[in-house]
Amino acid sequence: MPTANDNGFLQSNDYITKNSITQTNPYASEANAVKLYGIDTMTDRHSVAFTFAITSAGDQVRFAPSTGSSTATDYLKFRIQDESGNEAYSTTYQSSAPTANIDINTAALNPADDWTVLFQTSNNSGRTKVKFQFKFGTGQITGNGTGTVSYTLS
Amino acid sequence: MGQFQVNFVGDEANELFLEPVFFDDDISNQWRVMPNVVTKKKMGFVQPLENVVRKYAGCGFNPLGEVKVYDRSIEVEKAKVDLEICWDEFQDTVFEELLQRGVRLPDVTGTLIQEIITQRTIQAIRQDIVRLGYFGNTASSNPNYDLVDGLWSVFYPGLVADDLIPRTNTGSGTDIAAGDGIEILRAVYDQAPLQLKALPTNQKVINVSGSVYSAFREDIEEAGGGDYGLLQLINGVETLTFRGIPVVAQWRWDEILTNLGVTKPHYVEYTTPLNKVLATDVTNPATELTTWYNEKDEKVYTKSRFKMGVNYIHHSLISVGY
Repeated sequence: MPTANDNGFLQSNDYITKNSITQTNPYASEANAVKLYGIDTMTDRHSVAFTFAITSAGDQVRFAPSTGSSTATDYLKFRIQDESGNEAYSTTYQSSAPTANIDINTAALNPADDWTVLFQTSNNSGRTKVKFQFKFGTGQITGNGTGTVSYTLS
Repeated sequence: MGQFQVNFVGDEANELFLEPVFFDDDISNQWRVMPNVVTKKKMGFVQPLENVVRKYAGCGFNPLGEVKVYDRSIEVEKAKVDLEICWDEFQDTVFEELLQRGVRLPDVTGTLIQEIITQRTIQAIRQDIVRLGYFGNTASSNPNYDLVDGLWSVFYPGLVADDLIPRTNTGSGTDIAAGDGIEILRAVYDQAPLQLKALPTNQKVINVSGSVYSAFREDIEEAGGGDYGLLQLINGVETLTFRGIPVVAQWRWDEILTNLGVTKPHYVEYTTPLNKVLATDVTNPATELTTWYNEKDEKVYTKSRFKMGVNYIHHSLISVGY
């Protein structure tokens, strides 16, 4: 005998509440009759943390992951592009050394431009994914900047 | 079943019979095709507004009520098909009669051989799109399934886990008992969100795996319906209906799910075809292919390139059983 509504669906369940999507601008007026909410990625995420260090005034960028990848099918990918259309990238599987440094030769990039770093990672054969981008300013590039990037699931 | 008549003067005359390929339904009948999606397309949703009417007792303005707007995106992934043919496969066989003569010998374009591969490629793309649309899973290690996320493999289980759509436990893994063919459809129908219930009957469809379809038909027969009762002729096609809604057998679901390791799958999808989106960058992926002969390689190549992605629109228009 089949069992209807085995999972406990309720007519009153709504997408925004069930997916814990937050308001796009939480500082907007509470009384607004139309409220915008963010996007649900439909993909589980995992926490990621790494440091970066620019060396030789922009000839190389070293990323040092501290968490985020642990199994054979995980990958971390960094792609750096300047404002002149040049790009440098690295793809590496982290199976044997999940915290091994990832060095990218950026000698072909223009240090007088700001650089955009596009970062992607996936764990467990793609079951969890994270991707985001951030910028290096010209001062950081020529000044051998260092820093930490941390994405922690709340 | 396709059949090619081969007429030529040679050692033997042949007829080639193509093994049957079946399609449960046309792609455009099962999906809302969203063309010209190149990378990602956002779909915006506006939630309903209600309970804003209040007593008016005196001066003043008290804002009340809000409409929530959210969006999801449908992403497409790049897909490809690569096939090649060298004439040497047919060397010294009766099929060598099909090849061209002289310097054009290796060029199989325009011959029956190329016609076969073109027809089979178009059919294969159609089969694969439907299979990926329902059962694709980017987390799969199987290259036949890892292109996109599908409805049964990713989206519906996610919605069930979030209690956004109701799910009937159909007892997959065991045989369907007598009478349960109708009971399964009744449960999926009765549990449906009110929005789906309110939709006109002619806009809805109940897609079922072959096992459920067979059980439903047997239940009708046992109840004395035979070939009549709930059986209708629609456009010349015999159609079973449940409470006026067409019940469509998806025989391939049984085949695919069994290949994926699901024993005795009993799947039911009650929705409207307009609620399932197949996004692509072309008009029809199944016909997006090209064939050419390379003089240097002496081979004929067939290739297809397109993008595709799958998603649903409203969770309130879906009721499932598995």
